[in-house]
Amino acid sequence: MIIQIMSNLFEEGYLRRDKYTLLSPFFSNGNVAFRREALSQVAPYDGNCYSGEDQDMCFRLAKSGWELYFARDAVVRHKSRTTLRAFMRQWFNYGFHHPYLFKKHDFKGLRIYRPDNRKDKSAIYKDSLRVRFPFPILIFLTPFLALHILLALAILFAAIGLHIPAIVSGGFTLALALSYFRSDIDARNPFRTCAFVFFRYVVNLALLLGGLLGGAKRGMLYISATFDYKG
Amino acid sequence: MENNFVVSVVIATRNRAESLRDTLASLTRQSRKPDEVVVVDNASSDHTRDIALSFVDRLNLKYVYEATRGIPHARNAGIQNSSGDIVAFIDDDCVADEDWLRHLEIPFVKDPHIGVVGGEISYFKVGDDMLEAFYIQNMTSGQRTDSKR
Repeated sequence: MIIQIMSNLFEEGYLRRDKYTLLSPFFSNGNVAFRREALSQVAPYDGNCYSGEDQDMCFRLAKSGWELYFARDAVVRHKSRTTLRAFMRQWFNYGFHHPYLFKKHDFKGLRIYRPDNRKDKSAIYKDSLRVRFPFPILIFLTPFLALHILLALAILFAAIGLHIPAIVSGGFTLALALSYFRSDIDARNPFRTCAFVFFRYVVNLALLLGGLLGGAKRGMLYISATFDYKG
Repeated sequence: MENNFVVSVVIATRNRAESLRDTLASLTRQSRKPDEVVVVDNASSDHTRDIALSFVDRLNLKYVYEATRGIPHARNAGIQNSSGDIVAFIDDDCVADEDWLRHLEIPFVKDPHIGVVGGEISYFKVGDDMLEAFYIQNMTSGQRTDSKR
């Protein structure tokens, strides 16, 4: 499975096939059913997909003209077994293997997505820049990424002795951090707060690094969206 | 509902025999019984085969061994070795709610243009640590927070 980057999947019904892209919502193949007639047109699964084979399959079906339907009452329950190491490795791998799909389906140019804060949460990111470029670049301007850029700026300003800009950048970093980790902060339970902030940070870092390394392997710059995708 | 669909359920699994037992048990409790269940053993070294075969009296079960490791290979073996008009997949670390297969089948009956139907994956607690609490809070897809069982 790969992240549901662009949208939440929670409303019963058809997915938008006319606007279906590799970044569209897809069905995790942990809970999915195919019409054999459709499968036989696009099968087999791509043996080179170490993860994301489900996304690849949904994309190919949509391109062949088949409708995709989300049945929210067809519920399976997943065991939440995990260790921090397994959790990080899982998201590292999603990031690492995602660029294979981009290259396979001919991703080109420079594309930047930014958060789409619409109320109904039907999309999480929107296409904010799409230009021709000789080298494939895909960037999600997430708060997580912004946090690191601001922090780097603060450190840089401090290092070269520009104190006022350093304090301003540091202040923005702190404000953004508080906003980003707000769902983890529970004043009555500092231990839980620290643990949740730590988990969120390291898992997102694993995903980001996985994306960067996987992108490098496939000859592209890929800055992944974060795993906490609820917008 | 009136239809003549043959529905196969494919489970690709590797070295998760005990968990597979729960998955298969949940298939025996379906309100819409699977017409066929194909267990694809993806080169397991544990007792996966024994667990799978212990269900042959309760499910129309076919055991398939796939030596090439990897999810896509296992799923392809499942497609090739199943006969249903509808092929449903569930993972070996999941259990299905009783009406799971019924709800997956309904859209195919209603609209012949539908090629794929996806369902909801929710998470259940097996332990009581903070990482698990975090995992459940963040991994649950969509907005489903109710736990209807």
